[in-house]
Amino acid sequence: MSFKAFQYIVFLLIFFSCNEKESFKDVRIISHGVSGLYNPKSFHIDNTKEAMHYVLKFEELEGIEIDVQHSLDGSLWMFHDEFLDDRTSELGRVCEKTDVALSQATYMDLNSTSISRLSSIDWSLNNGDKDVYLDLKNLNACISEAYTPGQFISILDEINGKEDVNVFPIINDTAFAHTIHNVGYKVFSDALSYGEAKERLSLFYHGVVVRNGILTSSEVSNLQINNKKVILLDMFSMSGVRDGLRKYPSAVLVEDFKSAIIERN
Amino acid sequence: MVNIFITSLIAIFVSNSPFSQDTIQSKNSIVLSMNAEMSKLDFFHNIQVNTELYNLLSLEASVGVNVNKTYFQRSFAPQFSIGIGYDLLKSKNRWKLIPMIKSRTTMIDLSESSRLRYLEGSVGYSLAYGEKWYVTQGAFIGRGKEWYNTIDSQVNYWAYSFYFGFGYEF
Repeated sequence: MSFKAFQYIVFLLIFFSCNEKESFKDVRIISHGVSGLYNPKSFHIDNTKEAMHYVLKFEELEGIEIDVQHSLDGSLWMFHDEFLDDRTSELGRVCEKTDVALSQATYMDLNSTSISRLSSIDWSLNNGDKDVYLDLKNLNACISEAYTPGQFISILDEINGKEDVNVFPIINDTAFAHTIHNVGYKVFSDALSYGEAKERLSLFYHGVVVRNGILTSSEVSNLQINNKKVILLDMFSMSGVRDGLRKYPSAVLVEDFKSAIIERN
Repeated sequence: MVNIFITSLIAIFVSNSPFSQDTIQSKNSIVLSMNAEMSKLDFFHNIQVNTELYNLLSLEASVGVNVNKTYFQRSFAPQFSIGIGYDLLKSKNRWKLIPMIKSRTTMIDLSESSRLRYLEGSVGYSLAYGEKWYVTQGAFIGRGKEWYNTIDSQVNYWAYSFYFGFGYEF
C-alpha cells in the first residue's frame, strides 16, 4: 500500500515536471508597495527607504510601485494607508502631519523603522532600467490642505530620467491627472471594472491598474489597443501570478517579485 | 563534600567520555528521516540524517529543495544544512530532545545570469519520538544573510524555521 502511494507521488512529480513552461518575457514585473505590501518573505517593511534601496539593486526587476502621500508641509512621504494609527507610533492622517511629526513616527516592528520621505531615496543604487510608479494616494483626504499639481510635477521632474529611472504617476483625480499629463507625463489610473477601465483609457490616461480577477484575457487585450497599458494586481499566490501572466497584460503588480521573476522567465 | 564532587566528576567522565568502555561497546545508530520545513524563505522538503559522535554529541545533516521553486516553478533550488547538539534525554526513554546549533545554505536562480545565495546560523531544538520509526519535529531561530550575484552581502535578516517529519533508525 505504501509502495503504491510512493509510486503515485513519483508519478505526480514527473507529471508536473513534464508540463511545458510558458514564456511571458514581454510582461513586466512591478513590485507592489516597493517590496510587497502583503509579502511575509520580505526582509523590509513595505514603502520604506530600506525596502527601496534593497529592490533598486535587482536588475531583473523592471518596475517599482510606491505609495506616496503629501504631508501638511507639502512633502511626499511613502505610506500606503490613509491613517497612521494601525501601523505606526503616530495617530491620524499623513496629510494632517507636519514633516517633523512624520520624521519622528516609527513603524511597530523590531527595528522601529522610520516612515520614509520620498526625497530620502538614493537613486544611484539603481541597477538596470526601472519604471517607477508613484501612486499618489488620498489626495483629497485633507480638504483644507490643497496639494497642487505643480508641487507634484517638481517631484516627478527630480526623479524622472535620473539613474535610468522612468517615472509614471498613478492618479485617480482626473483634473489633477490631466495637468500632469499636459506637461508630458504618461499617467495611469486605478479602475474597478472593465467599463471604468475602458472609460479611463478613452480619456488621456496612458494605462490602467486593475484587479486580476475582474478582467478576462480578451478584455485585457481589448484594453491594450492603441498601445494603452494594462497592469494587473491582486495576485497573492504563484498560481494567481501565473493566472495574471496568462492574460498577457503590459505588467503585473506583484507581492513577491523574486518568485514572479522566476515564474515569468 | 569535595569527595562527592570529585566522585561525581569521575562518574560523568566514565559514563560520557569517548574513551569510556560504554562508548566503545555502544553501536552508532543512524536515523534517516524526511521532513517538511517552513522557513522565512519558503517551504522546503528535506532528507535528513542524524547520528551520534562518540556517543556524546548528536550530528544532523540534511539536503533538500525549495518546494515552490523546484516542484511548481521548475527552478531547482537546493538547500543544505548541518547541525550539532546534545541529546538531553539520552537513553532515558523513547524521546530525544536535542538543543542544537545549525547552519544552512540555499540558493535561488533568479535568471540565467543571476543567483541569490542565503546563509543562516540558528539555534533551536530537534525533537524525536519512537524506537525504530521516529516522528520528528524541530524549530530554529537565528540570523541570515542574502547575497545577490556579487560577494557583498545584500541584506541581513531574522531567520526562522519549523519542521515536521518522520524517520527510520538503521
